[in-house]
Amino acid sequence: MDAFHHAAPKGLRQARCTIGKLAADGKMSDDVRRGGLRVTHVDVKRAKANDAAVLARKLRFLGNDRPMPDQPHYLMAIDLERCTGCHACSVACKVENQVPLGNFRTKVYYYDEGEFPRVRRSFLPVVCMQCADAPCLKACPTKSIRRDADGIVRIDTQTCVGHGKCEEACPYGAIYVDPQRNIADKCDFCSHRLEVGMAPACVETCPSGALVFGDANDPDSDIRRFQARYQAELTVLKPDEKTEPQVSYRGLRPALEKKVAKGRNHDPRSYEIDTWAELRSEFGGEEKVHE
Amino acid sequence: MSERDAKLASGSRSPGDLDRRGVLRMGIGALASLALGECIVLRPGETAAAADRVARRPGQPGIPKTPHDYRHATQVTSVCLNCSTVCGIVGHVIDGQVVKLAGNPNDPNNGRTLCAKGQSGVTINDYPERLLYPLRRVGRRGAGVWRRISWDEAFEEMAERIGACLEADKPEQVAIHYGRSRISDVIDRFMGAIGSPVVLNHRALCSLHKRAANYATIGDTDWETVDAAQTKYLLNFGSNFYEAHQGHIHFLKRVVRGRYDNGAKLVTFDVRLSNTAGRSDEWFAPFPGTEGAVALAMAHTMLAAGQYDRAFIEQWTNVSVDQLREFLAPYSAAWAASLSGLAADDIERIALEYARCRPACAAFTNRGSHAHYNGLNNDRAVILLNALAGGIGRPGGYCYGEAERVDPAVYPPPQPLPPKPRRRTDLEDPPEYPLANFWQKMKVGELVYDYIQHRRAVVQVYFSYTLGSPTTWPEGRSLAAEVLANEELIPFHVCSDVVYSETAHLADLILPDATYLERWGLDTRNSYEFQPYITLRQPLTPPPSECLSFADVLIRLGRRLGPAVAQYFQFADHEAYVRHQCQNIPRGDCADGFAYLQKHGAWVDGSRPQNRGAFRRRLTAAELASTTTDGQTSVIYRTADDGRKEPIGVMVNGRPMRGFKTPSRKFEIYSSIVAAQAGKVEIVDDGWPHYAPVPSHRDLPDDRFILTTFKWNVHTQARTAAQKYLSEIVHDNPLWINAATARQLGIRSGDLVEVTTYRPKGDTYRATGEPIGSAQIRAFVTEGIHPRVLAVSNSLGHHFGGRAATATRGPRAESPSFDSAVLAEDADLAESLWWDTRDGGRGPGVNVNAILPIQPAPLTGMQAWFDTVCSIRRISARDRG
Repeated sequence: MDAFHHAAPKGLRQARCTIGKLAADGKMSDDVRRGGLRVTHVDVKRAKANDAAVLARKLRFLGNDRPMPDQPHYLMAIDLERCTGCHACSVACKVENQVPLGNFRTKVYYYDEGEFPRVRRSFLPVVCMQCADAPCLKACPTKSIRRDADGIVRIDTQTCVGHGKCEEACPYGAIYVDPQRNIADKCDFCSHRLEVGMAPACVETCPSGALVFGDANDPDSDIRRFQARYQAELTVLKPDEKTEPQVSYRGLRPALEKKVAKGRNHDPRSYEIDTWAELRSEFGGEEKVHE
Repeated sequence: MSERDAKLASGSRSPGDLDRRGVLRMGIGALASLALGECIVLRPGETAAAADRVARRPGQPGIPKTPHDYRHATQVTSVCLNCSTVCGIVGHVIDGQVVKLAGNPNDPNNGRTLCAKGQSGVTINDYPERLLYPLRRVGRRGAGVWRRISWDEAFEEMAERIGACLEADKPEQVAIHYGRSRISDVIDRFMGAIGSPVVLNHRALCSLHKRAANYATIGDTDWETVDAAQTKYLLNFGSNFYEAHQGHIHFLKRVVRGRYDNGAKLVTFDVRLSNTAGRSDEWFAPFPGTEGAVALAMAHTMLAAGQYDRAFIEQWTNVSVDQLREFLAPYSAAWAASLSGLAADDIERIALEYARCRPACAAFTNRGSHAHYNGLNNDRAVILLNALAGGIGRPGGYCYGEAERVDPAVYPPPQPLPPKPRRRTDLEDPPEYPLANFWQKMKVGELVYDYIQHRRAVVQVYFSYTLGSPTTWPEGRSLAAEVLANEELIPFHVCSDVVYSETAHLADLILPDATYLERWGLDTRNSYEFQPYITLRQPLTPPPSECLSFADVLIRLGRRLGPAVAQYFQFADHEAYVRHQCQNIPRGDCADGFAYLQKHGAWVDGSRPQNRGAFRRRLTAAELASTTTDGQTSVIYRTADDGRKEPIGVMVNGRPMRGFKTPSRKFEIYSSIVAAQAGKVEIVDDGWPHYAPVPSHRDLPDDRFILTTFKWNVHTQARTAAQKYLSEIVHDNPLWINAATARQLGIRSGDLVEVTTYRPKGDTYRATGEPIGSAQIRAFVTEGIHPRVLAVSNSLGHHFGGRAATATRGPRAESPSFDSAVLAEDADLAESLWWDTRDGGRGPGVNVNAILPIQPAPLTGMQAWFDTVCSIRRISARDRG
């Protein structure tokens, strides 16, 4: 949660950058120099509009592998009030990332509660939480999982040999080992799309606007606006796991976390329609044996 | 002749006789490697083969997958057709392959967003079981033995068969039956050119009652466009727009905004806890078919409490408040409660909550309320609530922005146009149902096969296109399939399809269709931004191998049928036809209108302000020239050149207004049309939206239930089951049963139960009440359904359509010559399709339509899908071993 505040807002740093540039040029008063931290958003916007460095930052991903000094920090928030359970995120993800049948990077759980006629349905889309303290990272015997400066936890597909320890360690069932390639795979916020300035596939397609994504360091980003509106209502999935998820939820009731399996991705023998009214994650049938 | 045309024309008829060649190759995948004239056998669970335009790279151990590199992608706009919402899309194409779809930000309705079905579209193009070559049946129809033929041979036989009908002066013996084609203009042109009126459709199985209710009441449109983003209260009678609606995410997006950014309340009436119901602020489950009673009681409550828009009723409807009060007098909340099972207090409370939000409130419907024997009046009663709230055409209310849609003169088809056929048959114009074709040709599709069986019309040539009647029709597996299989009743059946479907299985000639991502067309929907717009469907990639869009089939066929027919097809192809249509589209930043649509995908007519309802527009002086006003009715008439008087408006408060396109130019609570048309078939109807119970439901014994069906958010009717990512999410369709009911019957989730259905009662088809069929289905015990209702989804239970549709894991082909196939295998289907029953999976589900009786409603012919009476018994306990 504090991750939101680890880094100074991007705008502020940009403003400082602008100010610094102006100061270096000898065009800035001491007042402004001293008051740098009190720069308002209006000032930031004016500074941005006037500064070619901002344009350079907008193009930061194109052909530059080095992290920029003003590194973005990506976050996602999922507004369960708006979610309509449509599975568009899940299918968009499977197409985008060529996820084999029987595995999911993005999955939507359903929960029915109450007695007829007072029944309500809830939905719970789950992606990789990009944990700041990621169990998968610690469990990997080949150290093939890293957490990058932009906050995204990534798998090094060149060194992964498909041990599957990461899948077992993940409290969110968010990792799977590709059965054809024998390489672990999970949501990385569609990094290949971010690199060319495109939003993650799930976020782009979400019809209800339930998936909110952006750079926490950019005060104009969707995620910052969402945080400003709902900060007090945001929680994380399975806080007891102390993984410091970088994906937060609005409207999440703790009981729903029981729907999310720890230690495995999709159960090929599951058919979740049967378990909409249940708060458990094992539903492959009585004969299914779990460790 | 283009290179592609040359390729299509080059296949010559194969010499040599079948017996000598002799080898019937078994199974899947052989097709692509067949030489002309060779045969394969297709049986349920097996599928036709396809070709590979881009080598699929199966996963290799240790080799990472290659993410899509969008820097090398081309973006092409087009229009989705994985359901009928027709969202604007952008396809990302890399190396000739569509790798990803997104919403087109220029589309006013959906913008950048798409639903799960829309996202899934890319899997259709490269489905290994796609049909790629024309096939001719060998042996008995339905035996699944096929010979690959050339297009030339296919066209020759089609031209010969149709030519024989034309020569005999029996053009009406040629029929085209289509589902969601979006090329009805080309189909109508073809049929007009040959002089046949027998263009058959599926509207009576879909939206007929809703459209009829809108036409009867407001005349302007068959489809409302609720201004959901600005509303304060939504009364939803039987619409599951969170999952499946003709305006699905267009409406969904705006309802979500209205609710969470504008504080609107959503109340849903549905017998089953759909996602819409489950996420509504309140859900009520009335007994099936009593929606109209609840709506009338709400109207009664609003009137009694004085919570209504008196001025709207007096000025804009065709009845007085006193007449309305008299009509509504018997329909109290207590009366509706006794029928619906809802609490009278709830009915009154919701009615008054709704009324107090007027006029920024709307009551609307969909199949849940109207697909009943009494569904026409159910929907008319719901529409009435909008008049009482005065929200018609108001921000946040019940709007119909498409009323003055893009003028057809903006997109004219190539000339000359054929005249409308003068013949008629019972197939497209069933005399028993005078309202089916009154406002538009909605027809009565569910009766077509019965009429053919009973020789009410002779069919020599039957084209099926985007039609899954053996799976999607009531009694589809029996009546529809039997008639389609009968070579005497239908001597020649041509099916154009993308995969080897149940319909294709019963054809004589199979034509490999282009997918919706590979073909042309102009499209539009009602605009939720209340400004008319047009979108262009264009190929993201060319059709592979010998695939050809059905529009192009008809255009080429038309040119082969002699000069009298060919004169209407003097353009190169469907692309040229569409290009011609775009000549008046503003060119904007492009060379011409066609180029504009090719680039932007959508053109919005921004020349006029947002239009939420045209009736309040004052007529101009020019419009009023040479008009007369009826002193009694205040209707303004213009006298046409032929002397006929045409109503164009109505005087309201002394001002000449456009009004509604009804006979009275008012919002018609009382419908003279309904009364008059009923009289034609000797049905007594006073024209008011009375409530009448569903005859089959009267005196229902305790051991009988109502069987209802529904769509999932990841499936449409018959076409999506072959899409692996959708079927992965939903492939089996258990029987929903209320928890308390299940307890009484000793049924637990997972138990196998047998459902037996019964024919209807009342004034309808085969109204005997006798058993019709049984199906064995797994039970899904839930609190989310009415205790007297059982529910099974449609869309599933396919016998054909490839491995994804039939839940069959394994190799595509057993053919030894598989290496010559053009399309690569999909390792997912071969190795990872986890829901195959042989691997302990749940399989492809059941086709519940097979046991649903044909039951057209009186007057209209709308299929009363949700009235079916059934019984249930437990067969065996949960067995997952």
